[in-house]
Amino acid sequence: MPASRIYDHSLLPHGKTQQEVSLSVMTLLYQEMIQRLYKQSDSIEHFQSKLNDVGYRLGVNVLELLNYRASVPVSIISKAKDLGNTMSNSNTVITNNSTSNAPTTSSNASTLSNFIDEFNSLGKDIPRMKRRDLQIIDILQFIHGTVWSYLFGHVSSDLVKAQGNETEYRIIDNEPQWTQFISGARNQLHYESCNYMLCGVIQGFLKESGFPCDVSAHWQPSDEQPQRIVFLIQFHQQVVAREQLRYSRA
Amino acid sequence: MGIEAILIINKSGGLIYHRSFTSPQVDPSNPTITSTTKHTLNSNDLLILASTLHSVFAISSQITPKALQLSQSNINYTIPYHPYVGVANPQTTPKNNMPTKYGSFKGDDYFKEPFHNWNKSGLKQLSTDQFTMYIYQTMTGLKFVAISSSVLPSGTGSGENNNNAGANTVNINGSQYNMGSQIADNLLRKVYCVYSDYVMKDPFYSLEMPIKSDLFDDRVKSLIDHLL
Amino acid sequence: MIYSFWIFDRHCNCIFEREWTLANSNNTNAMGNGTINSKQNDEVGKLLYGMIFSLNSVTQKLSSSLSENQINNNIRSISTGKFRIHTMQTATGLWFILVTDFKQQNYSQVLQYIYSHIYVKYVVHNLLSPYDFALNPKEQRGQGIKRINNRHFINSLEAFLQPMLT
Repeated sequence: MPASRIYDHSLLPHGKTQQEVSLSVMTLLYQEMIQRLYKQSDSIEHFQSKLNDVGYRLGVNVLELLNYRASVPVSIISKAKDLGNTMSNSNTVITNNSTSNAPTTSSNASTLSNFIDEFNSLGKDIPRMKRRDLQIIDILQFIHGTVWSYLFGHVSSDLVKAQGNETEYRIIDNEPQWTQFISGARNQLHYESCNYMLCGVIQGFLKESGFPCDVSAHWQPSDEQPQRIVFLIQFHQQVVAREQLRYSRA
Repeated sequence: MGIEAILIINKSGGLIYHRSFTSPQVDPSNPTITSTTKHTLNSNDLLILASTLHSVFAISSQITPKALQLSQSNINYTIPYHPYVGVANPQTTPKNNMPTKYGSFKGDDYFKEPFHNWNKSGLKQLSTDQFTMYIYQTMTGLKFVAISSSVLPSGTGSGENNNNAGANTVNINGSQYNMGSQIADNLLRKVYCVYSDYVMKDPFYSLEMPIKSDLFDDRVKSLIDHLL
Repeated sequence: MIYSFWIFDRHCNCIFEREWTLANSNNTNAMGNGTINSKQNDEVGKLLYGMIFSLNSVTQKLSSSLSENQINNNIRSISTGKFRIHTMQTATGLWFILVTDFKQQNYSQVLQYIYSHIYVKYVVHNLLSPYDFALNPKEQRGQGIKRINNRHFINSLEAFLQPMLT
């Protein structure tokens, strides 16, 4: 497999198969990270900001990756899927034949090189990069849909605009995946703080795409969803002012 | 099989979790006062219970009969899987009443394969005149204890005792007796599954310390509720 | 399969012990396999009794929390991964203990029979047998006790348990 192919692989939306991480591994790692950061922190605010910083870096990376993925045309995705299947098939054929007879191996090798020529650079196949979202509602929709699907495999439970406050938006997750094993009822502040990593992801994502804001997590349990978390996004005044200047006439 | 209580004992013999499932009885003549005839064990008694069970574990391996030591007989330590112990059965429960996915619980059951019993030489079951206690031990030495209100069927017809009475009469119940133990192992292994989710993945839980998680409480409760 | 049989008196001393080691051997001689009242088993006996005694004291405590009527809550059987212990306590404080495998669940009738038809007949009704097996009434440490060496008792116990050995 040529190097470029490997690099491209992660850029393709659901390249070969949808990649999944074990929930147990993820949550164990997450709880270890929280424990470590918690021990290092002097106060709960300090802890929140540390966790926020970790998430921030992730948010920046997610912004790049998902915008790139959104730019890949649908035709390429389907082709890549076929290629992924045939690649894995031909791979098995080669390993089987290499021990028995040589001629079929060479024919397989030639078809393999065809694949490589056809598909050596993903960048060439993208006609136009996706423009970054400029409107508040667009970029929040992107987080609500694409980012959440990428991170958790489903869209977030809800996206709400605060009544009477232009700068406030809420993203709601009924069953937060990373913090689902942490009890909210026992210590509300601790539970909310544990969600600050995701706050960091949202903040990093928004800030790097030109929407400076503050994000905080709030525990608002309901009977069916005892772990329900609300991410409160407060955009800075300049963002709202810019939006009004740019779009209010349209 | 009614479960009276669930206990968890850590690897050094300390009681880290205790929950009783006998609902407080309401006195019909005076409903404002809940009956206290079933006075609960105080914490000291429970700690003694936990440490006694723990120390008996060490002893019981020492008293293995010589015949077993000599023959090294192949005892099968695999416990068969019994479907839907402690979870809703999809065949009998309406779709909308099925529990949602949570944590490691993805399908209709926590696990679906027979499993290995780590508890080879330690105490596994204790039967008395009033209750039966089942113990499931994990590889790391953690012990899950269930106290069940079911008792052994008592031997009847003692007047008919003759030389072969004992050998023939009570054989029939043998499989059922083992069944209870297997179901208890299945249940306690599920409690272990819940423990590994809601206790081990809680960043504010310190190892070997008492478990105080309401999420864990809820899940254990739901396991016991579905058992009845 | 029966592995061993024990009697403990009310001073916590082992007064009779019989262990079968090679139950499957062809040696049909009743005394041919295993040991009777062996000194080597002294330690095992102490551990066994200690385990039953401590578990019993715990279950006595538990019983008061689980049920209103104050009936005794004695241990009936203890299982480990490898073997099972069946117990019976008599009104005089004797413990009859049988260690077996898992095939059969309830040996209470067997224990009851041993007590009422063998122990009472050959030991209690025997005028020459001591009233108390401890040499000293205060003896509690396992020294200075007699064992049951009554030939008739051993023979009839052997004959009774022989069919259940394998």
